[in-house]
Amino acid sequence: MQGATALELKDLTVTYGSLRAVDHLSFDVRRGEIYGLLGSNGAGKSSTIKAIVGLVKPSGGSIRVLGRDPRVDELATKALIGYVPETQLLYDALTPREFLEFVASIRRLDPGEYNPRLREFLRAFQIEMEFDRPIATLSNGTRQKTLLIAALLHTPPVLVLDEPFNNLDPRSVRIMKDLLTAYVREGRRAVLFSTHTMEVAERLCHRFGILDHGKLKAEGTLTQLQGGSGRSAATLEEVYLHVTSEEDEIARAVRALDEGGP
Amino acid sequence: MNGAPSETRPGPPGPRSWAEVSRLARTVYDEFAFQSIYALKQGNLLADPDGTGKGDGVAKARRRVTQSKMMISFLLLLVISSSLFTLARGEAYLGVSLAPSLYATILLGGTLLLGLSLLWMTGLQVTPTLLGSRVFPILATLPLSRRDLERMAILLFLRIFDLPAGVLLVLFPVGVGLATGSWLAGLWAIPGALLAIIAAAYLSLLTGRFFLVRVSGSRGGTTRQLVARWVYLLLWTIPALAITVFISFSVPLLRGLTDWIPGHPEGLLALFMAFPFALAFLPSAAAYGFPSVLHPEVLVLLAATLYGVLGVFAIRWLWGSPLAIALETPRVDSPEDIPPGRLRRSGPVSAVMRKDLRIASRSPGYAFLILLPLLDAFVIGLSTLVENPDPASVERYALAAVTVAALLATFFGPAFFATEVLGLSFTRTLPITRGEVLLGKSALIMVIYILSCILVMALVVTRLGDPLPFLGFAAGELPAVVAAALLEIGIILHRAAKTGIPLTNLFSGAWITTLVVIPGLLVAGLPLVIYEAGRYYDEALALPSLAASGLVLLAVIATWTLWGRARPL
Repeated sequence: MQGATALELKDLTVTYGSLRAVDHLSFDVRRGEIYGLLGSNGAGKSSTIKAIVGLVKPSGGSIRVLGRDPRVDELATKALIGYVPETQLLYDALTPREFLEFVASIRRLDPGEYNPRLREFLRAFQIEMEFDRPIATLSNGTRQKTLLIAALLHTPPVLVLDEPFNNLDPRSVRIMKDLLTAYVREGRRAVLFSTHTMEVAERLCHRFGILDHGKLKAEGTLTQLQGGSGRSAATLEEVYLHVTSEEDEIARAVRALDEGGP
Repeated sequence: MNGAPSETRPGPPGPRSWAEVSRLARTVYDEFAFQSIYALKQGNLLADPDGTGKGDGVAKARRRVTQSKMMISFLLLLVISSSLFTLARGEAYLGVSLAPSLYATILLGGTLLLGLSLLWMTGLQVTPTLLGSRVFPILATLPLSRRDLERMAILLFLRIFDLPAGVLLVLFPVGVGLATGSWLAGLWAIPGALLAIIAAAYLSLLTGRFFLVRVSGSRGGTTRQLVARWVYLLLWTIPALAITVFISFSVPLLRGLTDWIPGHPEGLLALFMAFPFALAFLPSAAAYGFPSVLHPEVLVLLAATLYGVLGVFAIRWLWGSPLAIALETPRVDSPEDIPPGRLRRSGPVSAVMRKDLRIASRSPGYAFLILLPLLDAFVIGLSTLVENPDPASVERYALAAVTVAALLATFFGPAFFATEVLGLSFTRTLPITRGEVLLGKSALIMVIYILSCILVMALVVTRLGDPLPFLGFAAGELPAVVAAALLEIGIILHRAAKTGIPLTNLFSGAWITTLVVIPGLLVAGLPLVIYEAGRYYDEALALPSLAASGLVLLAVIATWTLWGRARPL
């Protein structure tokens, strides 16, 4: 059940010196929707996401989160978002418990609400044993689970997830996939989901935006993208490679590697 | 299939020569040096995003490790030369009356103890990084035998101490020979120097392992675990404390010992049997003969022999331990040990403080920033106990103590941003204001100042009896300390908001956290200067002037720094 716009980007531009990482990008994510942001390394996905969560300042364009402009009301906007970064941005010397206490304190959350939810997360992700160990000593999977809990603890209306399934075990991936589907089902919340894994995106997302060199090359549901590329039975991966004109390059590279051996 | 990729054939595994192991260890050392310096760098990210400068970064890291070792070696050189100069000038130089061999044993024993402390301090700082770095688990996956890995590990471990240990091993015996005029005494000084190095290496490895298991790797949660972490961190200050006490009180301590020895022959024997005095006795006896007051001296010689035997055992333990500890499997907790999954929420300002203290409790480098002002307060307090001060000079002590506490707290305050590392990027995505961070970090600086004042006051009052001057100075200077803290943290936050980049720390050569100390010290120091100036005009107005100037500074700086406090971080 999809509804009003939850997240809206208009002409967003992000530059790093002379490099234009995001180039006049516009798209929106609706309530009740999981929007897949797809692209190769360096396509501009993470820069887009960092601009949304306030980690980089856009050099142009606008962002609206549930109608709020982060430039005008950054704190209120941040309160609406749950974010999982691509790089594991954590305080390594803290334990997950201490880190989440810090997050809960900054977000001024109600213990009566988040503690039962936390216990369910710990059980679901099976990290009770690691909950009091310093993050520096934890596996990448447990670190990722800690970040997911930090993003979901306050049940935010907008979730911004940058490669959220990195390092997760199959059980946790399955839990997250089902959770995200349920998360938007009632049409009150929205998820922006960035990934390289086409199979996951194809199964999970309602609509897709394909980024290439900072620009939106194509957007729509899988059916719309298939129609646009003239391949009605194509997988998302095939559509993506077609849109980004990488099919021929991949075929050439595989031939060269295959023939290059002795 | 013609075009199938070929398998990469491994070279034949076999025993490697020391030269080959040493060459491999050199490569690994670069990585370890890089990690040991870069572990302290903000974000653990290279300055240039495309990574083209990693080569420069490695060279710079190696240079910094070498500089650090050179600094310790220079300190060691100073200690050895000043101590041996004192020995060469004879007991009359310090105005003490002791038999030459007793005088020499005490001086040389103190020098060895200090050498051990300096080497241990080096080991305390670097060994945890070596043991906790990923270099050994990576090496263990390569076709290297356990013996080769052990040899690489011990070579790497010894490189932590190479330069300072070399200084102690060469200059100490040579210096003893020169100072006593006996080359035999110089030769007998070698066992003491060698065993001090072995003891420092042993302690470094032992405390390094303790750090990995009980501090950086310890579970959070209970108060007992928190106390264990801070006890270790206090241990960290022992070498620094030994050096400070030696520099500040060696002469009064020696004089006190001289007065004490004639009435306590059994105490003298116990002291000379202790490590490393038993070993310092060997060159002293070789140069000046056995002292008549020490009976039976054979016990001292037996103690020295025992330390030699223990040294051999320590070497055997040291041989395999760096690798074994680095590859140790972490302890698995039983489910009963796990506290319930419940979070305790606090206010944002308090959350910032708690986070920093928790990080510091697992990071000796940061904990040291908290403990150093306290340590210094302790030494100032101690000075009044050792030096038998004049009660009339209580005000001077109070002023000195408060000045040191204020300036040290202000000097090290900005380094609290070093605790942020990668986490600051995440914190910036939370709805946290600049004011909350500013107040949280400034409050920590204020707490350090207050604790330092309490500590020095508690010690001094036991001797001088009058707490009021301390309370007056400590309370009068407090607003200036808070103003200095607000100014320093405010400048750093302002800079971070403008550049939008993560903050860096003192160790990574970040100029901002270093430069902000200058205005901070000026603000904290200004009321103290006003106090001194005020004393010339009217003694009664001096302290009120100190407090009033501090309050004015606080009002101005708080208005400036807390303006826009509701802005996001």
